[in-house]
Amino acid sequence: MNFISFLVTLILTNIKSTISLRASFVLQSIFMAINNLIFFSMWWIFFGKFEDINGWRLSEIEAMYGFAAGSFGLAVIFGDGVREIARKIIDGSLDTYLVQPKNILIQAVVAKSNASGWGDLVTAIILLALSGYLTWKNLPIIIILHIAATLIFLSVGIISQSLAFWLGPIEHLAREIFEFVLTFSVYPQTIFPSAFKVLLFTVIPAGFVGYLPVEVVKNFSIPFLIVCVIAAAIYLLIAVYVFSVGLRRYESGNKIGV
Amino acid sequence: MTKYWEFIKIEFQQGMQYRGAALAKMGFYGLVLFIFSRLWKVVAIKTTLSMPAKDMLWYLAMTELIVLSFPLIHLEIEEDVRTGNLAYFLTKPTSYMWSRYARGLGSVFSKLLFLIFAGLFFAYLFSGGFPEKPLGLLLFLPLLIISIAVYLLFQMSIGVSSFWIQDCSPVYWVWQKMSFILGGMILPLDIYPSWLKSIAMNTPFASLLYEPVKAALTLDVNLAFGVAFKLFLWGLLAIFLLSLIYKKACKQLVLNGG
Repeated sequence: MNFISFLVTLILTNIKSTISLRASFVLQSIFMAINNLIFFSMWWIFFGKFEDINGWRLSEIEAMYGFAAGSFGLAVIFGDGVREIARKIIDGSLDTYLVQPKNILIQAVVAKSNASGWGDLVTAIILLALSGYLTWKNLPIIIILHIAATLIFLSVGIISQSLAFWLGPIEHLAREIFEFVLTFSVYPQTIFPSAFKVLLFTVIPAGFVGYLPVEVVKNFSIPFLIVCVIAAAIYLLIAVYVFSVGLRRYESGNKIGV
Repeated sequence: MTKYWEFIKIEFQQGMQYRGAALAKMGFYGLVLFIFSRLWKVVAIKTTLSMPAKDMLWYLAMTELIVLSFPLIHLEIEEDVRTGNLAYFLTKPTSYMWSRYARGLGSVFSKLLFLIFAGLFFAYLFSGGFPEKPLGLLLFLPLLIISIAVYLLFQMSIGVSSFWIQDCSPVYWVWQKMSFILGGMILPLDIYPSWLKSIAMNTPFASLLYEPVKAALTLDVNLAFGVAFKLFLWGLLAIFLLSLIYKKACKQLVLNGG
């Protein structure tokens, strides 16, 4: 219970600090939503010319983009610190968390909140509503799918950033792996050959972020929903394990002010 | 003029040191081309495209090359404004704006070295050959440089706007996505509905992305000269805009006491 209240307090404090810079918060949120919708207009233009992409129509693409934007938004609102773990490993900034009597990984992940994530959430709501899949019946499922996909984003972030324990300064690579998952999750997986799809459900788990959630709401498929939840749990366990093993190799930065 | 050439050289040499970042960018470039090679293959089975599927991918490879080679020059200007570093630059015997511009060009050239190689490799690999008119690739080179030179000027104007809005990233996101859509970065403007195409053709974005690539792929020398002239005019407008904003910004800097 103590742990949960600590976590909630930490997250709320970060969100409050982001919101306190009101002008920047509003600007980032609104412009991120506009940015996403302008980018998405590519698909509106595309489907004005072409009918479908191997059976996927505009509504499925809207839902897929909605799921990806929503879960990415939640990931950076609650855990944008994940994208800085590699840097902290390299420059010894993890020291700050090591001296605290709380879980190091949790502290590192929720250390930062990104205002632009709220714009992603707005995008998700708009696109899911436009897709027609945002119904009262689907709402609980959509929320569960968002939580699962958020955990997958965070897990991929933790795993890729933790590679710095072994490989040294790989911030760019780690960020790129994170971006890979995001990029693959906003394109229909119906265009890829079957062998490649295996990658999208293992090494680059983008299939659990965009594609499978759409199949769940489209067919109201509870088995697929369970698969998404189990996948999120497995990736999270792997992420925690990788970070814990890597942490044993961590060398302090001897930073003043720890 | 020599001193600005030195800025270009210094930034170029610095850019060559960041091999990790270059590799990550090349990876992302390859990923995007892979996704769209699949997309165009799937779509081309059912519909007649405005150009051969192979050229559609080369089109994207060229527009992406322009977009990916931009440095985050607006963020560097924002940093100078935020930290007050700008005041130190003002005392130097070089213009702040032109030295920043020269450094931006140096950074672009270092990126281009890697990206041109990656673009040729990935586009050839995923499309299965060179474009229908391979000589167009040579025609593209000068247009690429002119387009980037003009784009940088607009990007710098966004950077200078951080005098008023503190964080210029949101403005840049929207500008960037506008260039994706109105510049036809992913979908050639020929696919667009005619009303949208005519709007796009009256913006700088079409001249920065769509027209140089179109001229290269159709090996239309007259169009290439026309595009170069249009880019020259857009460049003049961009310089006027940048000087205007910068002058106003400098006045504000004096008022604030630096």
